[in-house]
Amino acid sequence: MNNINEILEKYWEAETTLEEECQLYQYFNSSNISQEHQLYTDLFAELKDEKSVKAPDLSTFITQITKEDVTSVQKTKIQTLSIRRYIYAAAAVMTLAIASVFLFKGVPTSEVNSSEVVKEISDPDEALEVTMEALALISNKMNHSTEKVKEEMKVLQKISIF
Amino acid sequence: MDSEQYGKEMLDLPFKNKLYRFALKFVGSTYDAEDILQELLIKIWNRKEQYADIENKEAWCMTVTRNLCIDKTRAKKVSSMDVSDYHHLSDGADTQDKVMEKDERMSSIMVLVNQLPEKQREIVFLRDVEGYTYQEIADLTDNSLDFVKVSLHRARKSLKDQLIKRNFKKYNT
Repeated sequence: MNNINEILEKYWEAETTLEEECQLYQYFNSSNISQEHQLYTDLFAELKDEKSVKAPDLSTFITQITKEDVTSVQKTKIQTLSIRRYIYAAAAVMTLAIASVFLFKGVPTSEVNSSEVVKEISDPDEALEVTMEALALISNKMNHSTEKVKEEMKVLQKISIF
Repeated sequence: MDSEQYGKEMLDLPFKNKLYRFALKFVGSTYDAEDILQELLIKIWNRKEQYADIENKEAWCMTVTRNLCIDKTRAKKVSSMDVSDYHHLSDGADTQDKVMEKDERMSSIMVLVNQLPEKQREIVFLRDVEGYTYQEIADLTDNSLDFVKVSLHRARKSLKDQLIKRNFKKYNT
C-alpha cells in the first residue's frame, strides 16, 4: 500500500514512468482498492476504457484509392457535393415556381368584378368557415406542388446523379 | 505484387485505432474523425514512395493527423466534445442498472477531462490513454519536454482536485 501511495504521489507530479503508471492501472482495476483511493477509481478506469474505441472500417475507401487516381477520388468527393447542392437549390426553386403557378393560376384579372370578390362578412362563424376554406385551398395546392417535386427527384435519382 | 494489393498493405495502418481516437478527441465528431483518417490515407498514397522510406511511420502519421485536426477545428471552431457521440464497449457482466450508473459516472470523468485547456487535454490523452513517452509527446506536439511534464502535472492536479471536490459533495449533502 505504501508503494501505491508513493507511485500515486509521483503520478500527480507527472514523474512516473510508464511501468509505474501500468502498476497504478492494475491496482485501480483490481478488487483491492483501499478506501482512501476509491475516489480515483473512475478516473483510471475511464482513461483505460478510452482505449477500447476502434477506428471504423476503411477497407472500401482504401480499395477505391488504390484502384483510382487519388485526385479523381478527391474530385469525385467534391463534385458529388457540388452537384447535390445545385440539385437541392434547383428543387427549391422548382417548388416555389410550381407553387406560384398553382396559387395564382385561377386568379381572374380583368374580368373580376370587384364587388363580387370583396364581400363583407359580418357573421363570425361564416368568416371562420371562409377562412378555413381558403387555407385548405392553399394547402391543397402546396401539396400538389410538393408531390410534383418528389416525382422530379425520383427521376434525377434514377439517372444516378447521387 | 500489384498496385492494389501493395496499397492495401500500406494503407492498412496497424496504429489506425490510435490515430482515430486522437482525431476523435480533438474534433469531437465521429464523422470528422473518419474524414480526417481518409484525408491521411490520401496523403500517404500521394506520397507512397517517400512514406515507404519513413522510419517512424506512426509518429509521422500522428503529426499529420494532428495538423489535419487543427485545420478542421479552426474551420469549425469546435470548443467541446459531444460525449454522447462517443463509442463505448459494453461490459456484458454488468446488469443494465450498473451499466447505466457506470455510464453516468464515466461521462462526468470525461466532462472533467474535456474541461481541461486544449494543450493539457491533448497531453493527458497521449500519455494516459495512448501511453506515449514524455519525449514522444514533446515531439508530436512540438513542445519542450519541460512543457509536457508541467502541463501533465497541472492537468492531473486539476483532475485530482475536481475528484476530491466531487467526493466531498457526495458525502456532505
